Amino acid sequence: MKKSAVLLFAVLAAMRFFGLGGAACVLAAAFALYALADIKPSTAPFVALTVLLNINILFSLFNMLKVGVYASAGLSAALFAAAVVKNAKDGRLDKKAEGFLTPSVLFLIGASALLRRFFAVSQPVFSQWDEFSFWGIAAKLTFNHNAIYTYYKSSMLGVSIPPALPVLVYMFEKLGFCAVFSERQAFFAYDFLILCGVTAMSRAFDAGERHLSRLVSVFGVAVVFFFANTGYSDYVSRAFMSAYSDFPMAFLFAGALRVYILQKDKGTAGTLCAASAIVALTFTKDMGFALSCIAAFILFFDSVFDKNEYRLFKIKGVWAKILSAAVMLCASLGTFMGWSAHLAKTLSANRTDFGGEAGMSMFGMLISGVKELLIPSARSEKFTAVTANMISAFFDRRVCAVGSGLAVCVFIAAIFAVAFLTAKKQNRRGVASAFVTSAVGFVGYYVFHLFLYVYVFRDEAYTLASYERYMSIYYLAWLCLAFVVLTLSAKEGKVLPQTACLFATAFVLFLFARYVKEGNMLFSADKNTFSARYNITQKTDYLKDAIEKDDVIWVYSGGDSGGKWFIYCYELSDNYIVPDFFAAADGGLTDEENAEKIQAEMLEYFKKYNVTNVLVDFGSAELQTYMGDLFDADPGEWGLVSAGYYKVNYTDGGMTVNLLKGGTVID
Amino acid sequence: MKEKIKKIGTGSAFLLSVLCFSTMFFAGGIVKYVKISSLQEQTLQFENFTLNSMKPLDDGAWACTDSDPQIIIEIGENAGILRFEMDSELYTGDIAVYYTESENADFTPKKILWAKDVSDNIYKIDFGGKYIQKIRIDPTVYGGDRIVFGDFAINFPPTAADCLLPDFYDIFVISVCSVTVCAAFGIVKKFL
Repeated sequence: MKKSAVLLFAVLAAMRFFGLGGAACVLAAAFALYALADIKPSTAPFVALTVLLNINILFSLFNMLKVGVYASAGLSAALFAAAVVKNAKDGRLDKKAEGFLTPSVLFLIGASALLRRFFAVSQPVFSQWDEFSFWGIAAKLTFNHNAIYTYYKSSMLGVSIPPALPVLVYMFEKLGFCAVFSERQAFFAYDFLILCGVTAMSRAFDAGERHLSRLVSVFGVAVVFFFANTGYSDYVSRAFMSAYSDFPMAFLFAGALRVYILQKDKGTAGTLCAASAIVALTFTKDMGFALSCIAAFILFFDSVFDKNEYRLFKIKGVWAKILSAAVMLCASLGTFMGWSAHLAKTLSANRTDFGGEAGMSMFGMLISGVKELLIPSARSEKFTAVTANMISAFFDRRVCAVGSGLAVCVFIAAIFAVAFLTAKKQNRRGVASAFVTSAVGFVGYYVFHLFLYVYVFRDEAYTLASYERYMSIYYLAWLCLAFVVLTLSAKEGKVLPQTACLFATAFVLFLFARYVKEGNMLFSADKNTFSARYNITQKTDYLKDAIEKDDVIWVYSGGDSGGKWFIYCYELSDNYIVPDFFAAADGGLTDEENAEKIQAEMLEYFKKYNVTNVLVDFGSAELQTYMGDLFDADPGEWGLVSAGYYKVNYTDGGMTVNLLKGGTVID
Repeated sequence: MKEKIKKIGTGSAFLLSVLCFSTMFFAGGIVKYVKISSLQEQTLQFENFTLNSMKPLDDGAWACTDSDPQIIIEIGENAGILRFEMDSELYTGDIAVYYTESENADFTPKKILWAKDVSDNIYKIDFGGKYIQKIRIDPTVYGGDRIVFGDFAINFPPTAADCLLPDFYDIFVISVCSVTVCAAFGIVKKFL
């Protein structure tokens, strides 16, 4: 066995040993895809990851997640063995191994190892709001229960977001031999997905012009930071240290486009690979469905303008192209409806507990939205105001280090222009089609978000909450698409596109260096960065021995807008934390009368949820005045570094709340 | 000459770039070490600080009255490593240190560093030896936090590790620069 094959085995074995088992599994499957099915080495890891992820999601829908992970790992190992055996027999093993270890795959391995090592040293944890309200807690519960969150009762009941990312984390935790849920392994799972997406960008340079594939890798990594920081900031950016779905969605969306456009055999291989990415994308978040439709739209026109022979299975020509688009649309629609059916089946008993949203289905929203858009006189005041905000936001609001949406579009258009001018005559239509369809897709995406703000968001609609995050998904994918199209021109070997790649990368790096300082990057994170989290962990660690497994807890934190409450849900994920209890004091009554009224409402609420305990994180004057006499130990004394845990005792016609453990939580 | 350049493979070009940037990093580290070890260590008296949004408590500690407490002091000379001790009841959030380099400048987010926690309650910031007019430390982002301040020393003697040991950020920068230069070299080589 010669050098390259030995190197490949050694690397995979080392990865498994160092806690990178999930990554090793993906790479083994990727090698098999390359050696057996001729999927090019740069795109193979991404395809392998989406396929393995989809298999695991499918198993999870039938409550067999643990079985699924080990089955898919076994499948990956078996395929790898088959690839090795077949190629060893033909004497091509070494050539295949060398071909697989392209600079971009080596980048993937190197970056993964560096990142994993960094996480082991710095130990980052979840720290952002939505990580506690959904993304992080979903992953933790999935790990602890070995099943997705539709199969058991938890504080998360009623959340309908699909499970792709929690399942991805589960895969990496189990294959990385984590005994307890590890948050940094969760970050690593997300980052590995992103890195596979970045690796797939270099596909054009697998065969030649290898020096440029390193440039593409740098561009891909820098672009993530580029979109995570919109300007000078005075806090540590969570890029590469986040469980939010935005960057994975951007890379799944872009990846679907890439694996298709960069495939030599666009018909069968391209369609199946893109469909796999589309399924994963739709399983990530409902917005993935909209993005999948846009992807199918872009890819259909790409196939229309493709002059090469096009075959899907045994069908050729125009019908094959139409069928290909249909396959992609069905993959997305099927996934979307499959998840709805799953929710209906598993949560049917608890559907009435769904709270929050405006209650409109997605299609209802689309219909109302299109109607108001096309008929100006039918527009509500909210619609008009939000539309005006969104139009000005495109020009004014910074979405990334370059600046506003307009600036990003100019940058993207410039890259497409160079790609167009330097492409071979027969490819020019394809480049133009990619630009026009992705621009149309952007308009559709923007309008869709307009509807989202008007019909789903309440007051936050007027300030366009999370605008930067939502827009960055499309801009990032679009920018990477532009760069990839440019690489297709660059691989022909002409100087202009190659230099353009260099300039685009240099430009991104320049802006990155200008706006992102050492202190802003993940490398500077330490315990103080995650203070919001650790200040609560101090308290839960202190109270841990008083809390029992079946306790149903009401958490009170005076003055909290919800952020702390979600962190408590996360820290106490084994217990059921009841939805927060709100009672309004009536201005017309005296304090005693209000106290009686509120205590009666509280008793009813507690009985409804079978509350057994109360945790007071931070006292307040209201708690003291209206509920103080129920408590045996003064709940108002708990503050920044102290907390109290009480037991609820129901008496005839009332209740008392008795202290179990309380005090200062620091030394 | 052209033939020699064309013979260099991209693998060797990459290693050469890494070597080059690493050398630059170490050289820069040595220069910095020499520069800042020549600076005189001084203790900054806590009484000389201007405090915003902080009030003194009976036991010598300070309480933050809102979520943006600041402590400000004039330096007015070349500064190396600032080392200070601070014991906060709560985890503080990132400790930002704003600085100005000239007489009438204001603090802006463009000139900012973050305090690195080196061990129990001891923080270090490296100004690299440049002229610093005044600094503003934001010790915490939590109103109500109770902090005990210890010694503040400017130009604390640097260890060799401070200047020469590359951390993850340095490795990242060296890798990115090496890769970009290597790619540029590949393009140049191709069209030579």
